[in-house]
Amino acid sequence: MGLGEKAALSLGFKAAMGLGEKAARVIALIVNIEAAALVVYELLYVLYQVTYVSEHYAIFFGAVFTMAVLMHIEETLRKGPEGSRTFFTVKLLLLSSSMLAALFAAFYIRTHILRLEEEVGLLNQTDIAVGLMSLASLCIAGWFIWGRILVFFLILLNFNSNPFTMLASPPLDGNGLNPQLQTPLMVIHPPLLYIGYVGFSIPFAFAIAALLSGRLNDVWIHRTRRWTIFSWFFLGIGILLGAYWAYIELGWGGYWAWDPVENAAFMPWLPATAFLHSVQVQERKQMLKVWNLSLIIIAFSLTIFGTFLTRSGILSSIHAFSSGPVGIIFLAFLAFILLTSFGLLAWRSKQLRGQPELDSLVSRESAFLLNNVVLVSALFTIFLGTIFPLISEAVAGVQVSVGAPYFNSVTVPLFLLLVFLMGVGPMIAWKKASWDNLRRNFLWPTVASFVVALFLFIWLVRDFLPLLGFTLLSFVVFTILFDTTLAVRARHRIAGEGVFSALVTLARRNQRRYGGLIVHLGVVLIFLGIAGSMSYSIEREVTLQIGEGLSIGRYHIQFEGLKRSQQPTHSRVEGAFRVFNEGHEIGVLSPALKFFPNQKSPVGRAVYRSTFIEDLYIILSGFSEVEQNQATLKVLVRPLLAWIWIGGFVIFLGTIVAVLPGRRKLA
Amino acid sequence: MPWRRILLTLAVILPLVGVLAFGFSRDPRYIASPLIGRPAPPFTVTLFDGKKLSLADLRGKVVFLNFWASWCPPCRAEARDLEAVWQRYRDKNIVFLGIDIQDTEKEAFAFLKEFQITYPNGRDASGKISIDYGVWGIPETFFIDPEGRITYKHVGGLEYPIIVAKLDEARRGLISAKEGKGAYQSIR
Amino acid sequence: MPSLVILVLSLLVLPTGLQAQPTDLEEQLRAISKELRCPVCQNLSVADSPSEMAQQMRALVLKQLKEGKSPEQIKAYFVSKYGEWILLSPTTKGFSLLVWILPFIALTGGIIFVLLVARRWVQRKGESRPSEVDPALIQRVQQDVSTERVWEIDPEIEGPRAHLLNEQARLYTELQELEFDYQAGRLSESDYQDLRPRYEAQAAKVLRELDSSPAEAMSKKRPHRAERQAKDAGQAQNGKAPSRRGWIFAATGAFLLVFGVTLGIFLSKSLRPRGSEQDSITGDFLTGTGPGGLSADPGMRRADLQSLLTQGHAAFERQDWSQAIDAFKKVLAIDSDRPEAHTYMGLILTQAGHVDGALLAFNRALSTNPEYPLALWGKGMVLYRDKGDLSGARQNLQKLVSLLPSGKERFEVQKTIDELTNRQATPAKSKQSVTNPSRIEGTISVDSKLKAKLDSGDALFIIVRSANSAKGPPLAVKKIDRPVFPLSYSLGPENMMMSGRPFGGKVNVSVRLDRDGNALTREPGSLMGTYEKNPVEIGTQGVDIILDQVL
Repeated sequence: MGLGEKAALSLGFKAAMGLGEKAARVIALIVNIEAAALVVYELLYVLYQVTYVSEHYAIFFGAVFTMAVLMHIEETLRKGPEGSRTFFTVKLLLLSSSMLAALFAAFYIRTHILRLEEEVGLLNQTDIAVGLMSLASLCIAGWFIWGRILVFFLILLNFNSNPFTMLASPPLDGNGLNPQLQTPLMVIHPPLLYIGYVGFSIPFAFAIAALLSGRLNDVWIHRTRRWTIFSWFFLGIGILLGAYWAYIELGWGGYWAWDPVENAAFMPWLPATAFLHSVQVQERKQMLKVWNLSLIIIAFSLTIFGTFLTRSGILSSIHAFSSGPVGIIFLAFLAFILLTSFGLLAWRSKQLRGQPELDSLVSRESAFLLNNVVLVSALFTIFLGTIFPLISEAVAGVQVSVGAPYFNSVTVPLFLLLVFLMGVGPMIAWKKASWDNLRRNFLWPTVASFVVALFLFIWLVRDFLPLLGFTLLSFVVFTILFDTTLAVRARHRIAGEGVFSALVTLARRNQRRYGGLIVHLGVVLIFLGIAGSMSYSIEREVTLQIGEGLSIGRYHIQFEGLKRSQQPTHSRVEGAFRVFNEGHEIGVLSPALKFFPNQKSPVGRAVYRSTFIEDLYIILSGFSEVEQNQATLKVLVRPLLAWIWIGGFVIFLGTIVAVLPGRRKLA
Repeated sequence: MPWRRILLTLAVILPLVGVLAFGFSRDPRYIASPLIGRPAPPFTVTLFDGKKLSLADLRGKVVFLNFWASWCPPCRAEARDLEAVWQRYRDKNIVFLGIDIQDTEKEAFAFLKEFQITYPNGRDASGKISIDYGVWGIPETFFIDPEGRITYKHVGGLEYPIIVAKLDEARRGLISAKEGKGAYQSIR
Repeated sequence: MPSLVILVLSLLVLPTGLQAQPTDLEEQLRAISKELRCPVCQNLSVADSPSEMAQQMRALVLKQLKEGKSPEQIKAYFVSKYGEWILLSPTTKGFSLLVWILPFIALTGGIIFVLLVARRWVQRKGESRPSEVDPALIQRVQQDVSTERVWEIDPEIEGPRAHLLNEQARLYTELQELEFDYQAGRLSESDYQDLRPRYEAQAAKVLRELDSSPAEAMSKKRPHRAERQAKDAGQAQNGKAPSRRGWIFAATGAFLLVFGVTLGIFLSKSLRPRGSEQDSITGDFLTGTGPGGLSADPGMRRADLQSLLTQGHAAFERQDWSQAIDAFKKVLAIDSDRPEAHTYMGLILTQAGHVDGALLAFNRALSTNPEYPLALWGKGMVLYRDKGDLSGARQNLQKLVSLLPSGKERFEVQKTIDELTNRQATPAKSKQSVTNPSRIEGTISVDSKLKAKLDSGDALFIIVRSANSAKGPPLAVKKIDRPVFPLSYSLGPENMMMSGRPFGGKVNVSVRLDRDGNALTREPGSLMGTYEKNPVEIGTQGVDIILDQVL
């Protein structure tokens, strides 16, 4: 019995080892059922308890929002020290997560039972038992630990910050949900983000199981990679939807504020991305094991860190709330996770040491290593910036703020480097790239992107950073185009396929590669949108009398009057602005200020007009109360911004191509 | 046992957890003022009775400078105590001065009337004075000594004994090391 | 890449470049206020914040710019007031310098480290030399690779040969890719000639090892589900397998069914409302925690019921709603069907204006005990007063009359039924009284924080003043003694202070809860409230006022 088994024993693994594999499997099953039952139970409980109040609110907001409303009522009634005007509350998240956890659990039970079936089917073939047992113990360890994590969250849900306590006193004068959360996006965005967040516990559980059991072969990579793609994808889409929500609902014309909690959502995405790249090196060369395990642990710890930030309120953020004992519990959990997992990693490091060898410094392996360095540096930067106010106050006693200007200036070079590597990495040869290989693969893309750069320089872009950015982005696109063209031509030569069928064959033969390339294109589009909207935004804030107008970019905006109206839920002041694009009228846009009876300050409803070239975004920021003939408005023109959302969609497509089953059928 | 690696792990993780734990000891919204011990920024304010008052004219007196608004509950809570101290110490070379911020004149009047406040009060319509004093949460009170230096700053509601004690310190020119803190209302 | 085409085209049609038009001053203002943190917001810059404070700060920045101050001077001014905290990007001096340089140290350090390590790995590679292999094996490798077959690495397989099989699949895949890259022109002739023999030699080595290990080990490969299905479909070599699989599926299905049913029973048995925040929902059925987490002794539960009901009832009489709700909740936790508790919950919800919730509660009470008088009364009244469902109300109340012994209560109910019948007879008239244009109607409630200040001796004054003249006596006043909140009121010409003046036009509505009931004196401690959207037109409904100020 190795050290791993001993550790497993000490962790309550006695049953697994002492009673044999079957019993162990049953235990794992019970753990999962227990977790699932708790979750389902919470859900039923909500449905059961909520009946008194929900109907009243359902009329008001529609059934979809009821859940969120309940959270809010509870918050209102408890009246935490900071009040209850929070944006998406963690309570909302916890609720959606518990639903998702239920789905997860159901899924797990399904897979588990199916696996049981598979193994039962094989059990009478006695000679296979030994091999399977090792596999099963690994699975069980994974499930076991995953179950524990789930239970931890459930315990928090139950005892500390229970979102379901509302019925202790019905909301005689509840405030209703924050109006800005009353959008369908808010029903999708937090759950997606939370699938991402919770999802990272699965790769983590597999990693820890592998470390504990000492079975450090390829099995865990395979599983972990799949689950990481899953969580990575949902986290990424969740973040994008959050940005989209901020853009269309919050009415400040931006989509990303580098707020601590936004950073916390983004941070796990970076090591996950790094892992998805470096795991390919491990698959091919059996090296970087410690590194990959570290990335998984870091990604998971960051999800805990993010929850901790939101719950503890130690940093000022629009998403954070007042502190409570939950913060301390999360910190303790974070410390525990970090210490045990990295401790385990250090302890197992001898077994993990491979025989790393490289053929050449100029190879895809090195490109991936560099990609990892850049991604982790970006992670480090964002992390440092996020907690630097704390460090500074603790060490130097100086209160400082680290906000958007800092993050923008520091991360831009890192991301530009990343874009460059994105162009180089997928095309450079594995093992060893000769000069000839480099010339063949990169000559034409480089030339083409230089042409683009020249073109941009002459016609449009004179500033260095945007020019560099656009050039690098075009470089990535050209490498992908060039590479695909070569491959299609080869298919044509080999099998005589046409362009389309060649593309299909290529994608099916190597789903991960081509799915990955599509994801890269999506990322390029997102970067394009960010670069355009960051570098060349125009913004004006002007007070206009009726009949006056203002010019911004190619647009001219004419103020035509204010209209006050009473809506079922609120009263609203709308401004009518006739918008002209280079003299052509494109219509009347009417941004509004909504006055909700329960809210002190009005909520703005910005309007925007989106095109592939640029977005026009109008915010009504004030009006003259008395005569209503004067309005203050803020107008932004943000070039290329729509490409961010298109990019998100492309990433979605790419991920689907990468994970769709189908390759096996070809064989 | 790879002790070196384990120690390295600890060396990274423990300070990190420490820094995060430190976060619990502070209020993230609190902004420490760099003004304590510095000369009070000069200003001239139009009082509600129409007269103008300059801080410079008050040199040689202890000045109790209070920022408030009628919509702020902690301001209401402390108003009676402020007036009581003023009634008791008004002849002892001490000046109370209230600056009303982010308020309408009508509501401010109602506030003054409700609490029967008799010390001079003025309105800072443009916000210039409050920005000059780095105000962020009200009530915010500055104690200024006869030399014109800020000796103490208190964010949040004040009570009779503290006011008296800090007025005395200001009279003697004693500069407090720390800001005071009570229940405050973030301004808008 | 149509997106790129669109992009390029879109860039083409952009005129005169992407230059901003706003004035220089505006630009500078934006640049500076983007760098400043709004002191009252939660992480917004002064430029982005809509707060009054940020507006004032922007105005100040603009003023200073017009005075000819440089951006540095303006920022320094704000730093002198709020400290370095106000700068959204930390200074590059002192300790804050770290946050600027550490990322780049990390990046360059990381790159250098990786390059050094990679170089060591490259050197290590150079030391090992490939050994000679059998040309026949090489040929086999070439043959295997030249097929279109996809060699998949299946990490799920186990066994002594798993490693070799995967290694083989990996090398074959790489050889196929190499071949394809060469065909595609990504690889030069020399690179191809250099790399291919190396891979082939490795693959041949793996093949040799595979051949030397026992062939029957092949069966140790745990077939993948998909493969197994394919195998079954194609060869049907194992006659037993399908029937066994059917059995397994049936067992799984049965298990799921039993599981679901058990879960259902288990859950409904252990469902329990939470008595307090610390309470667990995993009630006594699971963990043995007592009702509402308050009592650890399960034996006490039933006995508690009566005292809880009494408590709740007393609290209800005191109009201490939250206490009453607490008590009745606990009752429901022990006995979820208790009609008394549901009825009182219903009454409380009626008070709060949650009509539908109240109806639901009454119905629940009646479902257990269809002759529970209080529930019948409550339901009847809700239907009558709030829902306008006169026939439904009548039905309930008549049932109640038939149940009640003759006495005062029965007389009251009968009176209500008569009133109701009258109204039913003259619906038009009753409707008119609801939407009387010369009335003001709404509800009055108390801010939850001030509930403690309520006193039973209070009198409530609803005061209507003309919006035009703030001075003088109010237009109309209505006094309500010993009010019960929330309360709905209706105020009309009969409440006017001075007859003769028209009751109409714009008015301001306010309420005062007076300590001694004398409208002319204003005692400290009295509660005040004004309508949020004053002034209102007479005839407005839903003039809801919250008592939220203390005199």
